[in-house]
Formats: sequence, C-alpha cells, structure tokens
Amino acid sequence: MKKWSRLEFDRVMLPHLDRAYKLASWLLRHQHDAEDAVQQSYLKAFRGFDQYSDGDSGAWILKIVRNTCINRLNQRRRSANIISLNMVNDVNHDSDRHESAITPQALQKSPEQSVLDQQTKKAVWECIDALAFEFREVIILREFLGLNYEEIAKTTDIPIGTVMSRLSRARKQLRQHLASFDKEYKHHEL
Amino acid sequence: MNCNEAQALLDPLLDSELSKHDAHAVQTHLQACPHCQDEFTAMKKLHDTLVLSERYAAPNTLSSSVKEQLDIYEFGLQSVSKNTRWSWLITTHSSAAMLGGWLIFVLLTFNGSAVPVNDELLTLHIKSLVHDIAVEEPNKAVLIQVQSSKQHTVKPWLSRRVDFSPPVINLSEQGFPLLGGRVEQLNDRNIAVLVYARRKHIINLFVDVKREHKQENFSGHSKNGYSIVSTQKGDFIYWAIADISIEELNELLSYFTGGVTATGL
Repeated sequence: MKKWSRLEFDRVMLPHLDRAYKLASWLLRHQHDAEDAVQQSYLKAFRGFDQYSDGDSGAWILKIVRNTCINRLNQRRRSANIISLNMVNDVNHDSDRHESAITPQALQKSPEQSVLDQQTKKAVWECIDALAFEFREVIILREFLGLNYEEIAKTTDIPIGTVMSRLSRARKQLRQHLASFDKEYKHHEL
Repeated sequence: MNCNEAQALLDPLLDSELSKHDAHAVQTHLQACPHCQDEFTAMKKLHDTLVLSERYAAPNTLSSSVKEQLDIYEFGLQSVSKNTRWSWLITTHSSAAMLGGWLIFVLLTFNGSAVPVNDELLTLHIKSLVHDIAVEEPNKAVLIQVQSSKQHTVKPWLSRRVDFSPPVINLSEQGFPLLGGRVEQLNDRNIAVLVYARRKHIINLFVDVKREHKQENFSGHSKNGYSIVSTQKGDFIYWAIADISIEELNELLSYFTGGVTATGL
C-alpha cells in the first residue's frame, strides 16, 4: 500500500474543495452544515488516504462527502423532533423532501434570458430540492459539479446505466415541476 | 434510427457522452424529426437554466479552515504519540492494555479510594487522547463526538445531550481553535466537554452546572505533567485540562468568565 504524505494529500485533494462544498450544500441545504461536513470529510479522507489508489481523486473525495452528508441527513431525521433555536431560520435544514413552496410569480421571466433573476433561481432551486434524493444527487453532480457519467457512477456507487436513467428521469421531473408553476415554461415545453 | 431509439440517447447526447458515430446518428435523426428536435431543445433549455441557477459558492475561508483541521489532527496525533509518559506504551502494547494500566496508575497516584472530581476528569482527559478523533461513534470513548469549529453546531449538539445549554466560544483568533465537543459521564450525570487546541496540544474543557459538585481540594499543583484549572462563573463550573501551562489554561477560562481569574489547582 502506497504511503502518502500530507503534502501529497493537499496537492491531490484540496483542488476539489469547491466542488465538495457545492455537493454538501446542495445535499444538506444548509451552508454551515455543509462546511462542517466538508471539514469532516476531508479529515476522514486524510485518515483513510492510504486506501486511495492514485485513481480518480475527485470521485474519491466526493464519495466521502456524499456519504458524510447522507449520515448527517439520517441523523437529522432521527432528531427531527428536536430543532435547535438557532437553526429555525435556516431554509429547508430539516427536510430531505420538503414540499415545494414555489409561487406562480416565481417564473415570470423567460428562461432564455442570460441572467436569471433571483426569484426564478429560487424557483429552480426549490424544484431541485423537491426531487427525491437519488434524482437530486445525479442532477447536482452532472449540472452543477460537471461530472461525467463515469465519475457520477463512482461517486454514487451505481452503474453508469443507472446514472443515465436517473438523470433522464430527474430532468423529466424537473421540467414537469417547472412547467406546473409557469405557463410560459409549458408553452416552451421546457 | 427511430424516435424511441433517438430519445433514449438524447440525455447522453446533451452530456457529450456518446461516441462520434452514435452522436452523428442521433443528430441525423433530429434534423429529420421535429418532435425529437423539440424535445432536445427543451432539454437544452433546462440545462441552460440550471447552469445559470448556481446556488452555492465555497466561502473564502473554507480552504484555510480545512487545512487548520488537518494540521490540528496531524499535530495532535504527533503530540499524543510523542508524549514521553506513555509513548512507549502506545508502541508496544495494545491500546486497551495501555489504557487499563494508565488508569490504574492514575488512580493509585491520586488520593486513595475516593476518586475526587478532578482526578476523574483527568482520567477522562487521558482516555479521550488515547481514543483519538472518531466522529459519528457517539457511544464510544472518543475525543470528539461533534466535530466543528462553530458555536452554532457544537452548542445545540451538546444542549440536546446534557440538561443545560453550555457556553461555547470559538477562540481561534485568541489561539484556542475549537475542535468540537463531546459528552462525558461524571457522577452519573452527563456533562459537556469542549475540545480546544493550543498549538499542538489538546485541551478538554469540562462544563457542568453548579449544583451537587463540590470543588475538591487539589492541593495546588499539576499532576503528572497535566495542568488542571477550575473556575466558576454564573451558573457554570469549568475544568480545563491539558499538558500546557496553568497560565494558558487560565487565559482560556478567562474568555468564559469575562476576565475573572481562574484558580490553578
């Protein structure tokens, strides 16, 4: 087994920090939790760095981040009846599949515009949040982290064929969600 | 290629996952089929919308805070393994044998059969160092059960597990970065423990509410290379333990007591 140094760990793993944070934030929907989860994941990764085999470092660290987030979501569910006062105001922190609260006004602007207004973005975010976890994570990994199918498969431990079918279903659901809130989307069959 | 075959390949076409040959075949079909072309256009629009809907950006401080955690972990391990009092035990005995032997040593060294609170806390401190950092194992003796440098994470975690809400402060700027916390049992009660670092040293700060605990007379000296400092303020009683000077522990406690000088024990 190859022996890695701290310098090598930093060189190989720290470049993925931004994507690690984005993944954790999208999955946990709570930025402070995400920061903690990333820190925890990097510590775990460092402790288990001997098991890293000089392959796809991005998928390796993102898989650890994903698993850490899943553990945190499970812990949240277990303690869902206890909500600390200082987390009450954080959006969606205690819900893995919360009900969307999109208003029809949220999608007034055309999606073709180059800069989406904040309301439209919020509507898109809530549509993504409304997806089941297995669909949400493939959309996040593909659209926001830019992973290819092979990298998504490694990160989520599912076959490439499943990645493809989940992506396809996730996109269909997103289009349905968005269309249901805005006639313009329906008109454009987006 | 018919519509069913083409539509099954629209996602990989969009994601540039098709071979040149397959991509060409699908595009040829799209040119001849308005229905599939519309479908593909809608998919591209969704993709464009998503790309423009980026939601999160890592804070500038993330890289430094991750590095700091790694530094502390790395240096903390070195610090533990280089502790002259028991490093030979770490390398030559199982951790269980080492822990048992050390606890017996601690108990015999201190004041007879009745174990004072401070002695018990010192034992807990040593146990926590032996067991390293192991998050997500709440029932195992560990140094850190909730790993975070943030008050808003550590405080509610502790508050759910003890019958009071302990004060939690991140003192990174003062040279005491908060590593996390855990819960320990003392006299059949759950008490809160905040874990801080000082250079390469680990500090356990035990916090309880003032009630049945009486301050034991610890006769004013450090024990076996460890400093123990205790103080009371408001509803709380604090014990700080580490292999650093009493003055430094005093400084840590002063941030909790608003400058009230703690008593070196």
